[in-house]
Amino acid sequence: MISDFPFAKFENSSVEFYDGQAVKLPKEYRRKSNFSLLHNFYSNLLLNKPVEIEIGEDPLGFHFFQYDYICIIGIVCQTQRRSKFNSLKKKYPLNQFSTEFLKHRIIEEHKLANHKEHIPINVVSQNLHEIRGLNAKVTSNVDVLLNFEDEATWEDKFDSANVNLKKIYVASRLTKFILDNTKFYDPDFWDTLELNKERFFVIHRCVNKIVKIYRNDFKLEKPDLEFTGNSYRKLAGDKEYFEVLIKILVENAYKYSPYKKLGPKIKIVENDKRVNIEAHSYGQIIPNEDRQHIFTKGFRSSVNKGKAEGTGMGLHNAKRLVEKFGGSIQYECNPIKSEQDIELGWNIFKLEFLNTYSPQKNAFA
Amino acid sequence: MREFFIKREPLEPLTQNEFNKMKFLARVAFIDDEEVPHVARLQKDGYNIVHFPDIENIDDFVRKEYHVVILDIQGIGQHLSPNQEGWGVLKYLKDECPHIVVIMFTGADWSITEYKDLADRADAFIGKDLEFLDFKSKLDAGIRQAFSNDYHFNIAKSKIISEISNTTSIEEVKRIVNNYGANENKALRLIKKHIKNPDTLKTIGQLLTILNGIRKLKTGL
Repeated sequence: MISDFPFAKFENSSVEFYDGQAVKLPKEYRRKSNFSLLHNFYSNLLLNKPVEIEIGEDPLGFHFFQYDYICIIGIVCQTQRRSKFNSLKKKYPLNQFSTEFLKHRIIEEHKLANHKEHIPINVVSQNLHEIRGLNAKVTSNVDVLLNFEDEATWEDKFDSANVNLKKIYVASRLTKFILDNTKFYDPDFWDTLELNKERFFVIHRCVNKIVKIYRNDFKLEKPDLEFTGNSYRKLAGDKEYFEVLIKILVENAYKYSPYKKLGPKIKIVENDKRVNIEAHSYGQIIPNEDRQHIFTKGFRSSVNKGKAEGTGMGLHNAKRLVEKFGGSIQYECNPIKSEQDIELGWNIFKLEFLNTYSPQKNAFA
Repeated sequence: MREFFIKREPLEPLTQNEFNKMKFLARVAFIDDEEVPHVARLQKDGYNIVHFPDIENIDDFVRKEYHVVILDIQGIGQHLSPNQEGWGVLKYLKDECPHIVVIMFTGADWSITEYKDLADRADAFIGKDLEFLDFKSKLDAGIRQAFSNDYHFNIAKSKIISEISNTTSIEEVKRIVNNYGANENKALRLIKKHIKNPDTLKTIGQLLTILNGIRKLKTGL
Protein backbone atom coordinates (compact mmCIF):
# COMPACT_ATOMS: atom_id res chain seq x y z
CA MET A 1 0.00 0.00 0.00
CA ILE A 2 1.16 3.54 -0.75
CA SER A 3 -0.24 6.55 1.11
CA ASP A 4 0.61 10.21 1.41
CA PHE A 5 0.22 9.86 5.19
CA PRO A 6 1.87 7.54 7.74
CA PHE A 7 -0.17 4.40 8.24
CA ALA A 8 -0.45 1.18 10.26
CA LYS A 9 -0.90 -2.21 8.67
CA PHE A 10 -0.97 -5.87 9.63
CA GLU A 11 2.04 -7.52 8.07
CA ASN A 12 2.93 -11.15 8.86
CA SER A 13 0.62 -11.17 11.93
CA SER A 14 2.35 -8.15 13.38
CA VAL A 15 1.50 -4.45 13.25
CA GLU A 16 3.87 -2.42 11.11
CA PHE A 17 4.10 1.38 10.88
CA TYR A 18 5.06 3.09 7.64
CA ASP A 19 6.06 6.55 6.47
CA GLY A 20 3.68 8.36 4.14
CA GLN A 21 4.97 9.67 0.81
CA ALA A 22 4.31 13.27 1.83
CA VAL A 23 4.18 13.06 5.64
CA LYS A 24 6.65 11.15 7.76
CA LEU A 25 5.89 8.81 10.65
CA PRO A 26 6.64 10.45 14.05
CA LYS A 27 9.75 8.86 15.52
CA GLU A 28 7.86 7.79 18.68
CA TYR A 29 6.26 4.98 16.66
CA ARG A 30 9.68 3.41 16.11
CA ARG A 31 10.85 3.71 19.71
CA LYS A 32 11.35 0.21 21.22
CA SER A 33 9.89 1.27 24.57
CA ASN A 34 6.57 2.04 22.83
CA PHE A 35 6.44 -1.22 20.89
CA SER A 36 4.16 -3.37 23.08
CA LEU A 37 1.86 -0.46 23.90
CA LEU A 38 1.35 0.41 20.25
CA HIS A 39 1.25 -3.20 19.11
CA ASN A 40 -1.57 -4.05 21.55
CA PHE A 41 -3.51 -0.95 20.70
CA TYR A 42 -3.29 -1.22 16.92
CA SER A 43 -3.68 -5.03 16.84
CA ASN A 44 -7.12 -4.61 18.33
CA LEU A 45 -7.92 -1.58 16.24
CA LEU A 46 -6.93 -3.14 12.93
CA LEU A 47 -9.20 -6.12 13.54
CA ASN A 48 -12.07 -3.76 12.86
CA LYS A 49 -12.65 -2.64 9.31
CA PRO A 50 -15.15 0.15 9.83
CA VAL A 51 -17.46 1.06 6.95
CA GLU A 52 -17.64 4.64 8.25
CA ILE A 53 -14.56 6.74 9.01
CA GLU A 54 -13.50 6.41 12.65
CA ILE A 55 -11.26 8.96 14.31
CA GLY A 56 -9.52 8.48 17.64
CA GLU A 57 -6.44 9.16 19.72
CA ASP A 58 -3.74 6.53 20.18
CA PRO A 59 -1.59 5.94 23.30
CA LEU A 60 1.04 8.37 22.01
CA GLY A 61 -1.54 11.16 21.78
CA PHE A 62 -1.64 11.27 17.94
CA HIS A 63 -4.87 10.97 16.03
CA PHE A 64 -5.65 8.01 13.79
CA PHE A 65 -8.20 7.89 10.95
CA GLN A 66 -9.53 4.46 10.10
CA TYR A 67 -11.68 3.48 7.13
CA ASP A 68 -12.06 -0.13 6.00
CA TYR A 69 -8.53 -1.56 6.08
CA ILE A 70 -6.81 1.83 5.80
CA CYS A 71 -5.53 3.32 9.07
CA ILE A 72 -3.75 6.67 8.86
CA ILE A 73 -1.72 7.44 11.99
CA GLY A 74 0.59 10.03 13.51
CA ILE A 75 -1.78 12.92 12.80
CA VAL A 76 -2.09 16.09 14.85
CA CYS A 77 -5.63 17.51 14.86
CA GLN A 78 -6.97 20.57 16.57
CA THR A 79 -9.55 18.47 18.41
CA GLN A 80 -6.79 17.21 20.74
CA ARG A 81 -6.39 18.60 24.25
CA ARG A 82 -4.90 22.05 23.94
CA SER A 83 -1.67 21.26 25.85
CA LYS A 84 -1.09 18.02 23.91
CA PHE A 85 -2.02 19.70 20.63
CA ASN A 86 0.42 22.54 21.19
CA SER A 87 3.36 20.31 22.02
CA LEU A 88 2.75 17.88 19.10
CA LYS A 89 2.09 20.76 16.71
CA LYS A 90 5.36 22.32 17.68
CA LYS A 91 7.23 19.03 17.28
CA TYR A 92 5.44 17.81 14.12
CA PRO A 93 4.10 20.86 12.27
CA LEU A 94 3.89 18.91 8.99
CA ASN A 95 1.61 16.28 10.57
CA GLN A 96 -1.08 18.79 11.38
CA PHE A 97 -4.30 18.56 9.32
CA SER A 98 -7.95 19.43 9.64
CA THR A 99 -10.32 16.57 10.35
CA GLU A 100 -12.44 17.33 7.28
CA PHE A 101 -9.44 17.31 4.96
CA LEU A 102 -8.26 13.93 6.21
CA LYS A 103 -11.75 12.44 6.00
CA HIS A 104 -11.81 13.40 2.34
CA ARG A 105 -8.31 12.09 1.70
CA ILE A 106 -8.83 8.72 3.34
CA ILE A 107 -11.83 8.11 1.07
CA GLU A 108 -9.76 9.10 -1.98
CA GLU A 109 -6.90 6.83 -0.93
CA HIS A 110 -9.37 4.00 -0.42
CA LYS A 111 -10.66 4.45 -3.97
CA LEU A 112 -7.13 4.64 -5.28
CA ALA A 113 -6.10 1.47 -3.48
CA ASN A 114 -9.13 -0.31 -4.91
CA HIS A 115 -8.64 1.11 -8.42
CA LYS A 116 -12.23 2.25 -8.24
CA GLU A 117 -11.58 5.63 -9.76
CA HIS A 118 -7.90 5.89 -10.35
CA ILE A 119 -5.51 3.71 -12.23
CA PRO A 120 -1.97 5.06 -12.37
CA ILE A 121 -1.59 6.86 -15.70
CA ASN A 122 1.73 5.17 -16.47
CA VAL A 123 0.01 1.78 -16.24
CA VAL A 124 -2.73 2.97 -18.62
CA SER A 125 -0.20 4.52 -21.02
CA GLN A 126 1.99 1.45 -21.16
CA ASN A 127 -0.96 -0.87 -21.68
CA LEU A 128 -2.40 1.33 -24.42
CA HIS A 129 0.98 1.44 -26.07
CA GLU A 130 1.19 -2.34 -26.07
CA ILE A 131 -2.36 -2.75 -27.33
CA ARG A 132 -1.60 -0.30 -30.14
CA GLY A 133 1.50 -2.28 -31.04
CA LEU A 134 -0.42 -5.54 -31.12
CA ASN A 135 -3.26 -3.97 -33.07
CA ALA A 136 -0.66 -2.81 -35.58
CA LYS A 137 0.37 -6.43 -36.04
CA VAL A 138 -3.24 -7.44 -36.69
CA THR A 139 -3.67 -4.58 -39.16
CA SER A 140 -0.53 -5.28 -41.12
CA ASN A 141 -1.09 -9.03 -41.29
CA VAL A 142 -4.68 -8.72 -42.43
CA ASP A 143 -3.53 -6.18 -45.04
CA VAL A 144 -1.16 -8.82 -46.39
CA LEU A 145 -4.04 -11.28 -46.66
CA LEU A 146 -6.48 -8.79 -48.20
CA ASN A 147 -3.71 -7.74 -50.58
CA PHE A 148 -5.33 -4.63 -52.08
CA GLU A 149 -2.99 -2.86 -54.47
CA ASP A 150 -4.28 0.66 -54.04
CA GLU A 151 -7.17 2.63 -52.62
CA ALA A 152 -9.30 2.34 -55.73
CA THR A 153 -9.01 -1.46 -55.57
CA TRP A 154 -9.82 -1.37 -51.87
CA GLU A 155 -13.00 0.54 -52.60
CA ASP A 156 -14.06 -1.82 -55.40
CA LYS A 157 -13.18 -5.15 -53.84
CA PHE A 158 -13.62 -4.79 -50.09
CA ASP A 159 -17.25 -5.93 -50.13
CA SER A 160 -16.41 -9.14 -51.96
CA ALA A 161 -13.40 -9.98 -49.76
CA ASN A 162 -13.36 -12.99 -47.44
CA VAL A 163 -15.91 -12.41 -44.64
CA ASN A 164 -13.55 -13.38 -41.82
CA LEU A 165 -10.75 -11.20 -43.12
CA LYS A 166 -13.18 -8.30 -43.35
CA LYS A 167 -14.21 -8.90 -39.73
CA ILE A 168 -10.59 -8.90 -38.55
CA TYR A 169 -9.93 -5.75 -40.57
CA VAL A 170 -12.97 -4.00 -39.11
CA ALA A 171 -12.10 -5.04 -35.54
CA SER A 172 -8.58 -3.71 -35.89
CA ARG A 173 -9.84 -0.41 -37.33
CA LEU A 174 -12.40 0.03 -34.57
CA THR A 175 -9.70 -0.71 -32.00
CA LYS A 176 -7.54 1.96 -33.60
CA PHE A 177 -10.36 4.50 -33.35
CA ILE A 178 -10.75 3.75 -29.65
CA LEU A 179 -7.03 4.14 -29.06
CA ASP A 180 -6.97 7.35 -31.10
CA ASN A 181 -9.65 8.78 -28.84
CA THR A 182 -7.17 9.07 -25.98
CA LYS A 183 -5.15 11.58 -28.04
CA PHE A 184 -7.92 14.14 -27.83
CA TYR A 185 -7.66 14.29 -24.04
CA ASP A 186 -4.09 15.57 -24.18
CA PRO A 187 -4.40 19.22 -23.09
CA ASP A 188 -1.91 20.31 -25.79
CA PHE A 189 -3.40 18.19 -28.57
CA TRP A 190 -5.41 20.84 -30.41
CA ASP A 191 -2.76 23.52 -30.02
CA THR A 192 -0.03 21.32 -31.41
CA LEU A 193 -1.95 19.44 -34.12
CA GLU A 194 -0.72 20.57 -37.53
CA LEU A 195 -2.05 18.81 -40.58
CA ASN A 196 0.30 18.16 -43.46
CA LYS A 197 -1.37 20.22 -46.19
CA GLU A 198 1.04 18.83 -48.77
CA ARG A 199 -0.78 15.54 -48.62
CA PHE A 200 -4.05 15.02 -50.49
CA PHE A 201 -6.69 12.36 -50.24
CA VAL A 202 -9.89 11.50 -52.06
CA ILE A 203 -12.92 12.54 -50.00
CA HIS A 204 -15.23 9.84 -51.29
CA ARG A 205 -12.82 7.03 -50.49
CA CYS A 206 -12.43 8.11 -46.88
CA VAL A 207 -16.17 8.37 -46.34
CA ASN A 208 -16.81 5.10 -48.13
CA LYS A 209 -14.20 3.35 -46.03
CA ILE A 210 -15.79 4.43 -42.75
CA VAL A 211 -19.24 3.53 -44.07
CA LYS A 212 -17.98 0.04 -44.97
CA ILE A 213 -16.36 -0.39 -41.56
CA TYR A 214 -19.59 0.48 -39.76
CA ARG A 215 -21.73 -1.60 -42.11
CA ASN A 216 -19.51 -4.55 -41.20
CA ASP A 217 -19.21 -3.98 -37.47
CA PHE A 218 -20.41 -6.66 -35.10
CA LYS A 219 -23.79 -5.26 -34.11
CA LEU A 220 -26.84 -7.34 -34.91
CA GLU A 221 -30.30 -6.01 -35.71
CA LYS A 222 -29.04 -2.60 -36.67
CA PRO A 223 -30.68 -0.34 -39.22
CA ASP A 224 -29.25 -0.15 -42.74
CA LEU A 225 -26.87 2.70 -43.42
CA GLU A 226 -27.67 4.47 -46.67
CA PHE A 227 -24.75 6.08 -48.51
CA THR A 228 -25.44 8.28 -51.53
CA GLY A 229 -23.62 10.80 -53.68
CA ASN A 230 -19.96 10.96 -54.45
CA SER A 231 -17.09 13.30 -54.85
CA TYR A 232 -13.72 12.24 -56.05
CA ARG A 233 -12.36 15.68 -55.30
CA LYS A 234 -9.40 15.86 -52.96
CA LEU A 235 -8.77 17.58 -49.68
CA ALA A 236 -5.40 18.63 -48.26
CA GLY A 237 -4.33 17.20 -44.91
CA ASP A 238 -3.75 13.94 -43.11
CA LYS A 239 -6.23 11.32 -44.20
CA GLU A 240 -6.20 9.49 -40.88
CA TYR A 241 -7.61 12.54 -39.06
CA PHE A 242 -10.28 12.96 -41.71
CA GLU A 243 -11.26 9.34 -41.13
CA VAL A 244 -11.64 10.06 -37.42
CA LEU A 245 -13.88 13.02 -38.28
CA ILE A 246 -16.13 10.91 -40.52
CA LYS A 247 -16.09 8.09 -37.99
CA ILE A 248 -17.51 10.45 -35.33
CA LEU A 249 -20.39 11.43 -37.62
CA VAL A 250 -21.18 7.90 -38.80
CA GLU A 251 -20.97 6.47 -35.30
CA ASN A 252 -23.28 9.19 -33.95
CA ALA A 253 -25.72 8.70 -36.82
CA TYR A 254 -25.95 5.00 -35.95
CA LYS A 255 -26.09 5.61 -32.22
CA TYR A 256 -29.00 8.02 -32.45
CA SER A 257 -31.07 6.08 -35.03
CA PRO A 258 -33.47 4.16 -32.81
CA TYR A 259 -35.85 3.08 -35.60
CA LYS A 260 -34.71 0.07 -37.59
CA LYS A 261 -36.79 1.03 -40.61
CA LEU A 262 -35.44 4.56 -40.74
CA GLY A 263 -31.71 4.03 -40.67
CA PRO A 264 -28.96 6.63 -40.81
CA LYS A 265 -27.95 8.24 -44.11
CA ILE A 266 -24.63 9.58 -45.26
CA LYS A 267 -24.70 11.90 -48.28
CA ILE A 268 -21.97 13.53 -50.28
CA VAL A 269 -22.93 16.55 -52.35
CA GLU A 270 -20.43 18.16 -54.72
CA ASN A 271 -20.93 21.57 -56.22
CA ASP A 272 -17.94 22.89 -58.13
CA LYS A 273 -15.14 23.19 -55.54
CA ARG A 274 -17.54 22.90 -52.62
CA VAL A 275 -18.15 19.48 -51.08
CA ASN A 276 -20.73 18.77 -48.38
CA ILE A 277 -20.89 15.61 -46.33
CA GLU A 278 -24.11 15.08 -44.41
CA ALA A 279 -24.93 12.59 -41.66
CA HIS A 280 -28.68 12.14 -41.09
CA SER A 281 -30.29 10.25 -38.23
CA TYR A 282 -34.01 9.91 -37.61
CA GLY A 283 -35.09 10.32 -34.00
CA GLN A 284 -36.01 12.95 -31.46
CA ILE A 285 -35.08 16.39 -32.74
CA ILE A 286 -32.42 18.18 -30.68
CA PRO A 287 -34.32 20.92 -28.79
CA ASN A 288 -33.77 24.55 -29.71
CA GLU A 289 -32.20 25.42 -26.37
CA ASP A 290 -29.56 22.66 -26.77
CA ARG A 291 -28.53 23.50 -30.31
CA GLN A 292 -26.12 26.30 -29.48
CA HIS A 293 -24.24 23.99 -27.10
CA ILE A 294 -23.97 20.77 -29.10
CA PHE A 295 -20.36 21.41 -30.12
CA THR A 296 -19.34 22.42 -26.61
CA LYS A 297 -16.88 20.13 -24.89
CA GLY A 298 -18.67 17.61 -22.68
CA PHE A 299 -22.20 18.78 -23.57
CA ARG A 300 -24.85 16.13 -24.22
CA SER A 301 -28.30 17.01 -25.44
CA SER A 302 -31.17 16.23 -23.07
CA VAL A 303 -32.75 14.02 -25.76
CA ASN A 304 -29.69 11.78 -25.99
CA LYS A 305 -28.55 11.48 -22.40
CA GLY A 306 -30.80 8.60 -21.50
CA LYS A 307 -30.58 6.81 -24.83
CA ALA A 308 -26.95 5.98 -25.35
CA GLU A 309 -23.66 6.17 -23.52
CA GLY A 310 -21.46 9.08 -24.46
CA THR A 311 -18.88 11.57 -23.23
CA GLY A 312 -20.09 14.67 -25.03
CA MET A 313 -16.69 14.89 -26.73
CA GLY A 314 -17.53 13.54 -30.19
CA LEU A 315 -19.09 16.61 -31.78
CA HIS A 316 -16.64 18.91 -30.03
CA ASN A 317 -13.76 16.92 -31.52
CA ALA A 318 -15.51 16.84 -34.90
CA LYS A 319 -15.74 20.64 -34.91
CA ARG A 320 -12.08 21.03 -33.98
CA LEU A 321 -11.06 18.53 -36.66
CA VAL A 322 -13.20 20.00 -39.44
CA GLU A 323 -11.73 23.43 -38.71
CA LYS A 324 -8.22 21.99 -39.06
CA PHE A 325 -9.24 20.89 -42.57
CA GLY A 326 -10.48 24.40 -43.33
CA GLY A 327 -14.15 23.37 -43.29
CA SER A 328 -17.15 23.93 -41.07
CA ILE A 329 -19.85 21.86 -39.38
CA GLN A 330 -23.47 22.85 -38.90
CA TYR A 331 -26.52 21.29 -37.35
CA GLU A 332 -29.81 21.30 -39.25
CA CYS A 333 -33.04 19.47 -38.61
CA ASN A 334 -36.03 18.35 -40.58
CA PRO A 335 -38.99 17.80 -38.22
CA ILE A 336 -41.49 15.22 -39.49
CA LYS A 337 -44.06 14.70 -36.75
CA SER A 338 -44.90 15.16 -33.07
CA GLU A 339 -45.89 12.33 -30.74
CA GLN A 340 -46.94 13.15 -27.17
CA ASP A 341 -44.92 16.39 -27.11
CA ILE A 342 -41.91 14.63 -28.64
CA GLU A 343 -40.79 16.07 -31.92
CA LEU A 344 -39.46 13.46 -34.33
CA GLY A 345 -37.52 14.05 -37.50
CA TRP A 346 -34.08 14.05 -39.09
CA ASN A 347 -31.11 15.43 -37.21
CA ILE A 348 -28.54 16.45 -39.80
CA PHE A 349 -24.88 17.27 -39.28
CA LYS A 350 -23.44 18.91 -42.35
CA LEU A 351 -19.75 19.29 -43.09
CA GLU A 352 -18.79 21.87 -45.68
CA PHE A 353 -15.46 22.21 -47.46
CA LEU A 354 -15.17 25.15 -49.82
CA ASN A 355 -11.64 24.58 -51.09
CA THR A 356 -11.28 21.12 -52.45
CA TYR A 357 -8.94 20.05 -55.22
CA SER A 358 -9.45 18.30 -58.52
CA PRO A 359 -9.06 14.49 -58.56
CA GLN A 360 -5.77 14.94 -60.46
CA LYS A 361 -4.25 16.97 -57.65
CA ASN A 362 -1.14 15.45 -56.12
CA ALA A 363 1.90 16.61 -54.23
CA PHE A 364 3.50 17.88 -57.43
CA ALA A 365 0.53 19.75 -58.84
CA MET B 1 31.85 36.52 -68.56
CA ARG B 2 28.37 37.75 -67.92
CA GLU B 3 25.91 35.13 -66.64
CA PHE B 4 23.57 36.19 -69.42
CA PHE B 5 25.75 34.39 -71.98
CA ILE B 6 26.28 31.23 -69.94
CA LYS B 7 24.26 28.23 -70.98
CA ARG B 8 21.74 27.23 -68.32
CA GLU B 9 21.94 23.70 -66.91
CA PRO B 10 18.95 23.63 -64.58
CA LEU B 11 18.02 21.12 -61.90
CA GLU B 12 14.44 20.29 -62.82
CA PRO B 13 12.04 19.08 -60.16
CA LEU B 14 10.61 15.59 -60.70
CA THR B 15 7.39 15.13 -62.58
CA GLN B 16 4.80 12.71 -61.19
CA ASN B 17 5.73 10.09 -63.79
CA GLU B 18 9.42 10.42 -63.00
CA PHE B 19 8.66 10.10 -59.31
CA ASN B 20 6.55 6.98 -59.82
CA LYS B 21 9.60 5.32 -61.36
CA MET B 22 12.24 6.88 -59.16
CA LYS B 23 10.63 6.00 -55.87
CA PHE B 24 11.81 2.42 -56.37
CA LEU B 25 15.39 3.65 -56.62
CA ALA B 26 15.30 5.42 -53.26
CA ARG B 27 17.36 3.64 -50.62
CA VAL B 28 15.15 3.19 -47.59
CA ALA B 29 16.26 1.78 -44.22
CA PHE B 30 13.63 0.51 -41.82
CA ILE B 31 14.84 0.11 -38.23
CA ASP B 32 12.60 -1.86 -35.90
CA ASP B 33 13.35 -4.72 -33.55
CA GLU B 34 10.02 -6.35 -34.39
CA GLU B 35 8.64 -7.99 -37.48
CA VAL B 36 6.56 -5.61 -39.63
CA PRO B 37 4.74 -7.30 -42.54
CA HIS B 38 4.48 -3.98 -44.42
CA VAL B 39 8.20 -4.16 -45.22
CA ALA B 40 8.01 -7.48 -47.06
CA ARG B 41 5.03 -6.15 -48.98
CA LEU B 42 6.94 -3.00 -49.99
CA GLN B 43 9.89 -5.12 -51.12
CA LYS B 44 7.50 -7.22 -53.19
CA ASP B 45 6.11 -4.02 -54.73
CA GLY B 46 9.63 -3.07 -55.81
CA TYR B 47 10.75 -0.64 -53.10
CA ASN B 48 14.43 -0.70 -52.21
CA ILE B 49 13.80 -1.04 -48.48
CA VAL B 50 15.99 -2.93 -46.02
CA HIS B 51 14.86 -3.97 -42.54
CA PHE B 52 17.40 -3.82 -39.69
CA PRO B 53 16.52 -4.85 -36.11
CA ASP B 54 18.91 -2.15 -34.83
CA ILE B 55 21.86 -0.05 -35.97
CA GLU B 56 25.00 -1.91 -34.92
CA ASN B 57 27.47 0.68 -36.18
CA ILE B 58 26.15 4.14 -36.93
CA ASP B 59 29.18 5.14 -39.04
CA ASP B 60 28.76 2.12 -41.31
CA PHE B 61 25.08 2.89 -41.49
CA VAL B 62 25.64 6.53 -42.49
CA ARG B 63 28.14 5.52 -45.19
CA LYS B 64 25.38 3.58 -46.97
CA GLU B 65 23.74 6.94 -47.78
CA TYR B 66 20.09 6.06 -47.32
CA HIS B 67 17.63 8.57 -48.71
CA VAL B 68 14.97 7.77 -46.13
CA VAL B 69 15.26 6.17 -42.70
CA ILE B 70 12.20 4.93 -40.85
CA LEU B 71 12.97 4.63 -37.16
CA ASP B 72 11.14 2.80 -34.42
CA ILE B 73 11.59 4.36 -30.98
CA GLN B 74 11.57 1.67 -28.34
CA GLY B 75 14.13 -1.11 -28.42
CA ILE B 76 16.47 0.44 -30.98
CA GLY B 77 19.58 2.60 -30.71
CA GLN B 78 20.92 0.34 -27.96
CA HIS B 79 24.51 0.86 -29.11
CA LEU B 80 24.26 4.59 -29.74
CA SER B 81 21.88 5.91 -27.15
CA PRO B 82 20.48 3.33 -24.69
CA ASN B 83 18.52 5.96 -22.77
CA GLN B 84 16.93 7.85 -25.63
CA GLU B 85 16.68 4.85 -27.93
CA GLY B 86 15.21 5.88 -31.33
CA TRP B 87 15.19 9.54 -30.35
CA GLY B 88 18.96 9.34 -29.82
CA VAL B 89 19.41 7.91 -33.32
CA LEU B 90 17.22 10.68 -34.75
CA LYS B 91 19.37 13.29 -33.01
CA TYR B 92 22.57 11.76 -34.35
CA LEU B 93 21.28 11.54 -37.91
CA LYS B 94 19.91 15.09 -37.93
CA ASP B 95 23.14 16.46 -36.42
CA GLU B 96 25.50 14.53 -38.67
CA CYS B 97 23.56 13.97 -41.92
CA PRO B 98 20.63 16.41 -41.96
CA HIS B 99 19.82 15.62 -45.60
CA ILE B 100 18.55 12.13 -44.72
CA VAL B 101 14.76 12.15 -44.42
CA VAL B 102 13.95 10.58 -41.06
CA ILE B 103 10.46 9.26 -40.36
CA MET B 104 9.61 8.12 -36.84
CA PHE B 105 7.61 4.91 -36.67
CA THR B 106 5.65 5.28 -33.48
CA GLY B 107 2.68 3.95 -31.64
CA ALA B 108 2.84 6.24 -28.66
CA ASP B 109 2.01 9.91 -28.79
CA TRP B 110 3.03 10.40 -25.18
CA SER B 111 6.61 9.53 -26.08
CA ILE B 112 6.45 12.33 -28.65
CA THR B 113 5.33 14.74 -25.94
CA GLU B 114 8.20 13.66 -23.72
CA TYR B 115 10.75 14.24 -26.48
CA LYS B 116 8.99 17.15 -28.15
CA ASP B 117 12.17 19.07 -29.07
CA LEU B 118 13.67 16.03 -30.73
CA ALA B 119 10.36 15.09 -32.34
CA ASP B 120 10.32 18.49 -34.09
CA ARG B 121 13.48 17.48 -35.93
CA ALA B 122 11.85 14.42 -37.48
CA ASP B 123 10.54 14.88 -41.02
CA ALA B 124 7.36 12.88 -40.43
CA PHE B 125 5.66 10.29 -38.27
CA ILE B 126 4.08 7.02 -39.27
CA GLY B 127 1.68 5.44 -36.80
CA LYS B 128 2.39 1.79 -36.20
CA ASP B 129 -1.22 0.88 -36.75
CA LEU B 130 -1.54 2.51 -40.18
CA GLU B 131 -2.86 0.32 -42.93
CA PHE B 132 -0.47 -0.72 -45.65
CA LEU B 133 -1.78 1.74 -48.24
CA ASP B 134 -1.54 4.65 -45.81
CA PHE B 135 1.90 3.51 -44.72
CA LYS B 136 2.98 3.39 -48.36
CA SER B 137 1.53 6.82 -49.02
CA LYS B 138 3.51 8.30 -46.10
CA LEU B 139 6.66 6.57 -47.25
CA ASP B 140 6.12 7.98 -50.75
CA ALA B 141 5.79 11.45 -49.23
CA GLY B 142 9.12 10.88 -47.43
CA ILE B 143 10.79 9.76 -50.67
CA ARG B 144 9.37 12.82 -52.43
CA GLN B 145 11.06 14.99 -49.80
CA ALA B 146 14.32 13.10 -50.24
CA PHE B 147 14.17 13.77 -54.00
CA SER B 148 13.01 17.37 -53.65
CA ASN B 149 15.52 20.10 -54.54
CA ASP B 150 13.71 22.55 -52.27
CA TYR B 151 13.93 20.20 -49.27
CA HIS B 152 17.70 19.95 -49.57
CA PHE B 153 18.12 23.64 -50.36
CA ASN B 154 16.17 24.58 -47.22
CA ILE B 155 18.41 22.37 -45.07
CA ALA B 156 21.52 23.98 -46.55
CA LYS B 157 19.89 27.41 -46.29
CA SER B 158 19.53 27.16 -42.51
CA LYS B 159 23.27 26.47 -42.31
CA ILE B 160 24.18 29.19 -44.83
CA ILE B 161 22.11 31.77 -42.96
CA SER B 162 24.18 31.17 -39.85
CA GLU B 163 27.33 31.89 -41.87
CA ILE B 164 26.26 34.92 -43.89
CA SER B 165 23.85 37.71 -43.09
CA ASN B 166 23.02 38.89 -46.61
CA THR B 167 19.62 37.40 -47.51
CA THR B 168 19.91 38.66 -51.09
CA SER B 169 22.88 36.35 -51.51
CA ILE B 170 20.78 33.37 -50.44
CA GLU B 171 18.14 34.13 -53.05
CA GLU B 172 20.89 34.54 -55.58
CA VAL B 173 22.41 31.19 -54.55
CA LYS B 174 19.03 29.52 -54.97
CA ARG B 175 18.59 31.01 -58.42
CA ILE B 176 22.04 29.85 -59.52
CA VAL B 177 21.53 26.37 -58.01
CA ASN B 178 18.22 26.00 -59.83
CA ASN B 179 19.48 27.35 -63.17
CA TYR B 180 23.01 25.94 -63.32
CA GLY B 181 23.10 23.24 -60.60
CA ALA B 182 23.23 20.37 -63.08
CA ASN B 183 26.86 21.41 -63.68
CA GLU B 184 28.40 21.53 -60.20
CA ASN B 185 31.60 23.34 -61.20
CA LYS B 186 29.83 25.96 -63.25
CA ALA B 187 27.31 26.61 -60.47
CA LEU B 188 30.05 26.92 -57.85
CA ARG B 189 32.03 29.34 -60.06
CA LEU B 190 28.99 31.58 -60.37
CA ILE B 191 28.21 31.40 -56.66
CA LYS B 192 31.79 32.41 -55.79
CA LYS B 193 31.04 35.79 -57.35
CA HIS B 194 28.53 36.40 -54.56
CA ILE B 195 29.92 34.43 -51.62
CA LYS B 196 33.52 34.23 -50.48
CA ASN B 197 33.14 32.44 -47.12
CA PRO B 198 34.85 29.02 -47.55
CA ASP B 199 32.53 27.26 -45.04
CA THR B 200 29.48 28.50 -46.91
CA LEU B 201 30.96 27.43 -50.22
CA LYS B 202 31.65 23.99 -48.75
CA THR B 203 28.01 23.71 -47.63
CA ILE B 204 26.82 24.74 -51.11
CA GLY B 205 29.22 22.27 -52.69
CA GLN B 206 27.75 19.46 -50.56
CA LEU B 207 24.26 20.56 -51.53
CA LEU B 208 25.14 20.45 -55.25
CA THR B 209 26.60 16.96 -54.83
CA ILE B 210 23.37 15.73 -53.23
CA LEU B 211 21.17 17.35 -55.88
CA ASN B 212 23.27 15.91 -58.66
CA GLY B 213 23.10 12.49 -57.05
CA ILE B 214 19.31 12.71 -57.41
CA ARG B 215 19.64 14.00 -60.98
CA LYS B 216 21.91 11.10 -61.92
CA LEU B 217 19.37 8.63 -60.52
CA LYS B 218 16.78 10.29 -62.73
CA THR B 219 18.91 10.21 -65.86
CA GLY B 220 19.61 6.53 -65.21
CA LEU B 221 15.93 5.65 -65.49
